[in-house]
Amino acid sequence: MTLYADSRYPVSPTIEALHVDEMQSYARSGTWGTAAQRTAIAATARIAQCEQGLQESVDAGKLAAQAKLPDAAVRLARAVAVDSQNIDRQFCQDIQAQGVSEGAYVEIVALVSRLSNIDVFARGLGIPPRKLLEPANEALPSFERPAEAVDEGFFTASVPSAPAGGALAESLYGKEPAGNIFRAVSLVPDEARRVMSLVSQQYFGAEHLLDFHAASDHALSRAQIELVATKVSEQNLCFY
Amino acid sequence: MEHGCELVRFAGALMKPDTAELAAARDAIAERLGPEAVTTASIIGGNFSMLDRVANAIGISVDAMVVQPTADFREALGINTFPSAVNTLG
Repeated sequence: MTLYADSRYPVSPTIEALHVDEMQSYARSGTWGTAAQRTAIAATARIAQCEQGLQESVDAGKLAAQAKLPDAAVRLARAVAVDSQNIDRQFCQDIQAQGVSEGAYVEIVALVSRLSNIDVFARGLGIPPRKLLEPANEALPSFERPAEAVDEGFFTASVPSAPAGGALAESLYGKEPAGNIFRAVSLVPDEARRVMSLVSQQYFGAEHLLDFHAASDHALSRAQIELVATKVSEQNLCFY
Repeated sequence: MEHGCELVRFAGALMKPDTAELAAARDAIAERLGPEAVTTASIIGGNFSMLDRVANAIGISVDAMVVQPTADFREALGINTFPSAVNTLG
């Protein structure tokens, strides 16, 4: 049984393997959250999406209740899932003032955003959301904040491109300057790596973002891909 | 653009609760562009749903090299009125 066996539309082994790994990642401990907390965050985001009619229930209530999340973490997960267009600097500061650390804020944003990737994909194919996994381990988070992280003008700190970001920046982005979207969640390097991996395998790698004649395996032309991307971003009121 | 209307309809329906409209938009793409196009459009839809949430929730600005070249059509398309525009335009 494969992850997308019920799809009428073909899904490549590459995408399938990528998404299997994504599903497992929500159920593992992270940098700032335990496996149970991350699973509960994912389930909370899904409940919010269900309430908006954007997906069907997948028994998320039980998983959401497995960890007692701070109210601010629940508020953040729900906002990222269904109301990200109204998140501003004040909201970010309020969430942190209510006890969610800066690192945890970034991890929750990244996790819920990555879940949206999987859930919108399934919705596009016309299949139910893939079932969330039970927490996979009881390992404690590392709580490691990169020493290289600085204020680059975003709501949260980030690791700048090399050379300012040092060896960590080179390991994340290479030696060339990285776009803001790739640095956005770099306060949690593991999440940044996941976002970049998804972008490079589902869309185009950083080296081809501005190469509109780059070859790809996509079934749509680059112009058609950009049209879909633009319409989706318009719906999400995303200026970026 | 070839089949642009079908793709815009599908991308718009992805983000709304109307499942009948989404199904109709999906069928139109499958019929006119082929089943693989449904998969690619869904992948791109998911990918940008993720990136939009990251960009909005972290408050990143548009990269400096893009701000000036996009000024004319941003204004024309009304993008400057999005709440997240303040992260770039101040």
